[in-house]
Amino acid sequence: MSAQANAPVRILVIQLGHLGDTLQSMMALRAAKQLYPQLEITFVARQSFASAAKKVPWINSVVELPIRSLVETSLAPEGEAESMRQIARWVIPLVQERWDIVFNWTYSEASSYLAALVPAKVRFGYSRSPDMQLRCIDGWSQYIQGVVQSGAPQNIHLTDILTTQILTALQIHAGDPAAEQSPDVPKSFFTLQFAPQTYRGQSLDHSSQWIAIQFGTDSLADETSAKTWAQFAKALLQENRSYKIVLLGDEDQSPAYREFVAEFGSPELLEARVLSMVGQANFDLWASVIGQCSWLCSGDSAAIHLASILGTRVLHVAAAESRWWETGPYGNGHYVMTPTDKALDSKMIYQIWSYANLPKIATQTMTLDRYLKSAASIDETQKDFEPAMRVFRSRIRSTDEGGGVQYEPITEHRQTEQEWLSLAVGHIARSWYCGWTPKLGRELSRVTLSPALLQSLRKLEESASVMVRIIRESRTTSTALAFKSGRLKSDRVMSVQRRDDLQELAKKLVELESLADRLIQAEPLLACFTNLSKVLMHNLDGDNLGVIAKQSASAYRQLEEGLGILGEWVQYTLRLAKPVPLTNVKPIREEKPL
Amino acid sequence: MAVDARLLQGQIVSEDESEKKDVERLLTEFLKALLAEQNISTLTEESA
Repeated sequence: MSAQANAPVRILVIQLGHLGDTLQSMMALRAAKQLYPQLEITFVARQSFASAAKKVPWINSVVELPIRSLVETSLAPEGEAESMRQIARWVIPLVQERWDIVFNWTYSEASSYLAALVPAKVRFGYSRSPDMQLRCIDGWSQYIQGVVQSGAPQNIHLTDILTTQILTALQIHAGDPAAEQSPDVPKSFFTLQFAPQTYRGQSLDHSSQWIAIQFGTDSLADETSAKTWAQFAKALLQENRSYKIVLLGDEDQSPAYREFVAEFGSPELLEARVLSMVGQANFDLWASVIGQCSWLCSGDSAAIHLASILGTRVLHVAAAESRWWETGPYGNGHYVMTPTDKALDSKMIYQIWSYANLPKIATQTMTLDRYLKSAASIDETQKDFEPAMRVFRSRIRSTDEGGGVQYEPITEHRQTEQEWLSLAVGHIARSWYCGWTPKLGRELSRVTLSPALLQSLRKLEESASVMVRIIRESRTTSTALAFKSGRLKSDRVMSVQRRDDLQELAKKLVELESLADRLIQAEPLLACFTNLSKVLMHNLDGDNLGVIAKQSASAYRQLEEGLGILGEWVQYTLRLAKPVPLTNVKPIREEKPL
Repeated sequence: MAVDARLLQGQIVSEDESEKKDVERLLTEFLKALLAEQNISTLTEESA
């Protein structure tokens, strides 16, 4: 079936998250609109973040949720009833429409109630069942709930998850995509009204190259963040005469700007080559400025997504505890740096920016490790040099590699068990929901495998084989339950013997689940399977015991397949680490004396 | 679970009283959860 150009597909996208979430959702929507020009998109966003969606010409309508006003109303005397009336009035236009598909990309409790209220042929993401239970019936949403939101390691970028989810949904419900990309989706993404040729008498002149520093969330300790940025900016400007810096941030970042100025010193340099737009909340101005810069240096996810959309390169200074591989800069040639044992300092940030800013050919021929050694005047042959940070470069994989964004490590470091697991779980997810995976272990390298990791994997292999037995037994039990209950005329009226049989099987399933939970206490790396198992079981929606048991058996089969892939990853990694005899080595012949 | 907009506008009273209650409950829970999680970002872990 091919997509019918004249048959519009009306979709409602609910995104009640923050600006970063809004921008990430729009990236996924752009991919869908390019392939399905007949999409008519209505986008629900918080009022304070709706301005970005309003600037996208191919989004047909933006519905703003006035959260601030709702909060103010609810706090007033007798405000509860009034805020109810307010929210009811707000919901009416949404429930008056009949949507083809609703995508609730907020993945929050609140949004699930809204998704349940609006009429739709199909819903993706969180919703509510008639008994008000949280529901998510599509595979990717279950993965988000069971794996991503539970904090388990996985390496698929959220933009890729949303994109794959919407494209799969559209292929099922609207047919194959158009053969050519839609001309309705311009490369510029936003239609901006503001061209900041001048701002307060200063200009983003084109004779200079501009670098944006966005204050906000980053890995630098709060009290030193602005100071670190000031030191970085000063070093950069002193070493690179053709560059200028523009500082960005909302009103809350005004104290950070003052700290920056105090630390920077050199008023003349500041006046001549640093422009502050801190406190400017205008989206058009913000997007125009970032769009004109060569680099954005920041840890702020909204700014990072905006730069990704606008094609500005990003140096993402990520907090060690952040899940940057799910929300980092999207596209080719961005850099992510994250601390190892101590906080990042301005020198490290400057070193990485300097390396990233080298011509592409130079970064291809000189490794970052060599570059850092030469900067630190360390002998290149020294093997135990380990930088106090980890650095990754983003790359869009080709389709035959699985597609999507990947962050390649460019510092030489040993892989942690969490990193290893994130690769394996990402692979398993592609197998579950895309039905196709690239060749196993492509992202693994022998040199990154440490003895500690291998030891941990041997333990994991044992635990995983126990988990496979538990899951397999659960599947067999569910199948038996489906068989026995399928022969009943009623779920309520049955012989005492049959009732006891069914109760026995149900009891066994509960015991197996408890056994799996106990195994997780000993092997937390397998938690993603038990978390997902709970989500899958919660979302069984059969209307009788037989159907529910059948669905449960199918869910256990999915988990068993996933554990099978995990086992293959463990075995592949252990084989990769084994010493290999050298072949094709010519024996050294003794030279005959002349 | 989807609702008739007229129920929200108060223009009709549903013949099915439970349907009306469901809508009220969905709206109440929506508002309650919305106010509770106003500063939470579910995907990117941004601060408010």
